[in-house]
Amino acid sequence: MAKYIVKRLGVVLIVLWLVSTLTYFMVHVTPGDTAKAIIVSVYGEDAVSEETLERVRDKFDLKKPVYMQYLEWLKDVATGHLGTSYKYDKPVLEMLAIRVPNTIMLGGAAFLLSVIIALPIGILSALRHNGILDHGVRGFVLLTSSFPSFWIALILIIIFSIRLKLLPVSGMTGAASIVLPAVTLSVGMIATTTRMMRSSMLDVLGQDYMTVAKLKGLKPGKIIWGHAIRNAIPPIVTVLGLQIGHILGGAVIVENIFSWPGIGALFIDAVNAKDLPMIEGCVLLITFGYAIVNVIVDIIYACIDPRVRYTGGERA
Amino acid sequence: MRQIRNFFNMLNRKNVILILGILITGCMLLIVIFAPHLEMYDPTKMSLEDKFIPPCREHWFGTDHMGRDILSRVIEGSRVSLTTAVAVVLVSAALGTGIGLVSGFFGGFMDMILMRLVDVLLAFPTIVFALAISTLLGTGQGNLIIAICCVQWVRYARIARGEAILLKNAEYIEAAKAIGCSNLQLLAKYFFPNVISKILIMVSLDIGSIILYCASLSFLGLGAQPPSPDWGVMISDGKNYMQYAPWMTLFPGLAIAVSALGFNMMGDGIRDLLDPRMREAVQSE
Repeated sequence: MAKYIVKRLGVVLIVLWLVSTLTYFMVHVTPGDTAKAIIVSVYGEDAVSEETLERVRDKFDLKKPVYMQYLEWLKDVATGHLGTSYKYDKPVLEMLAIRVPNTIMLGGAAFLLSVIIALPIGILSALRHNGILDHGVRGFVLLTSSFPSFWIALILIIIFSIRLKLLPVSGMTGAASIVLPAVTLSVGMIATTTRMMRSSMLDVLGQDYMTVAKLKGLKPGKIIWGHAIRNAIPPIVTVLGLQIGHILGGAVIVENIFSWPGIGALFIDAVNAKDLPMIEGCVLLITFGYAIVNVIVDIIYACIDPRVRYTGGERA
Repeated sequence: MRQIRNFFNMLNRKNVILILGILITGCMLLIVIFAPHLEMYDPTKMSLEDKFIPPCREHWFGTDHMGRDILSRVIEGSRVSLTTAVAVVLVSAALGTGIGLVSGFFGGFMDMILMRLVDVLLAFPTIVFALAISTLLGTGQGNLIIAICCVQWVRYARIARGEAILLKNAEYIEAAKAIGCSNLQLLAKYFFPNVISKILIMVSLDIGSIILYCASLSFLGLGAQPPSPDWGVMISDGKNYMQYAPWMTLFPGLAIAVSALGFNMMGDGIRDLLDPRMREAVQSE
């Protein structure tokens, strides 16, 4: 088990290194003068002059060749220094640290909401295969995978904040303000998770051991809880791990719309301001979060499904 | 008469979805082709007296903050938004299939490097990566297409590579080699036709979500720029006037949803028709 975890963490490190390198070069080989972009984003067009350009180049070490900058940057990242934001002139790590809890809170709320709704519906629609609920679920999945999340967000704002005046439009002000962003973020996840839960459950229901359980004369409730659901849940754990990626991607848009002060809003802000250290910091953090969550999911999976453990973690 | 009845008997529930999907997509295609003839007003003509008119008989979808007719803009926008999405899917499918086939066929060091690259790209939420690439390229419709292609080709490359590796050991490939087919001939005559159906299924399943990706990125201001009637841009305009003019947000969004829905239904139907086994495989991606 320990060997398995170490192996998985090793893969995470490699992925992180590759991603950071890719982002670094992608962002640093941008056309146009970086120093000029910094000045424009912070002080506006008028402040651009030979003198200010020179000062900014000195301050942010932009004079050295790119590979030297890269090596120094890599050393800094490895020791936990993510550089200084061009736009805010503050350490990137510090700014990220303030935002992380907000994103985790929003993502966590959306995640819980989707699990609470999706698992029971998925199970029920599998139990009543081809019933009304089952067809309803297919329709729901088709519909939700066709509506853009930013549009759903705006429509929710129009209905619940502007018309009914029930919930705040944006920002993070008290408990009510998390409702709309969390609901928006969970819509896509509910669709995917329900579909997966349904097909996993249908899979299990078709197995021979279900017939055995019935022939043994077990009560239907016991068959469903003790045999069917118990075996249908493990594959869903992996799906839920992958959903974290959707949360992180979705958070970028949802946070931007609701002015939720999380990583996603910070990222869009950095992209618009061409704030390179901040962009790299955000990408690195998002990848790190995604990779770590997936390692944790794999470990949980190995704990609840002994087959994974015994075959050394090579899942088919 | 009997033929018609047979036809309807053949339609079980899944095919209904396929046919509805084809109908919606067909209508969209007609709108794209005949856009200039369907528009009642000039989609770019501004008129300050007519701004913020709610949906009415003259302006079915209302007008926006510059007095432009939203219905005409939604129709004109289909040309921008849908062509962008189709371009993305075609380019990334072609690129991915090519790279995947070659990678799987030759194997070795290059294959290893490519597959690591695929792993890294898949380790990313698509939109985050596309945004990072957009920073590099700048805004604009062409750059948006490139940015999404950079992420999307990976999905096709994986499928094509998997198929190529399976095929490599097939007996008829051995036979073709024995009669002296060159590598290029092998790839073009035997490998490509074998992967094309799977790739087409993926294409039809992907267009819907690509429409949404493109819309999201242009909503964030990275795609087509404001005067152009792109659906994402229109919604982003409408965001500022949600209080007075919700129709500015509502209708372009519905246009996105209906076209994505049409493609999704068509994709679902085609998948069920061509390859029922693939259903679970794609879902577990």
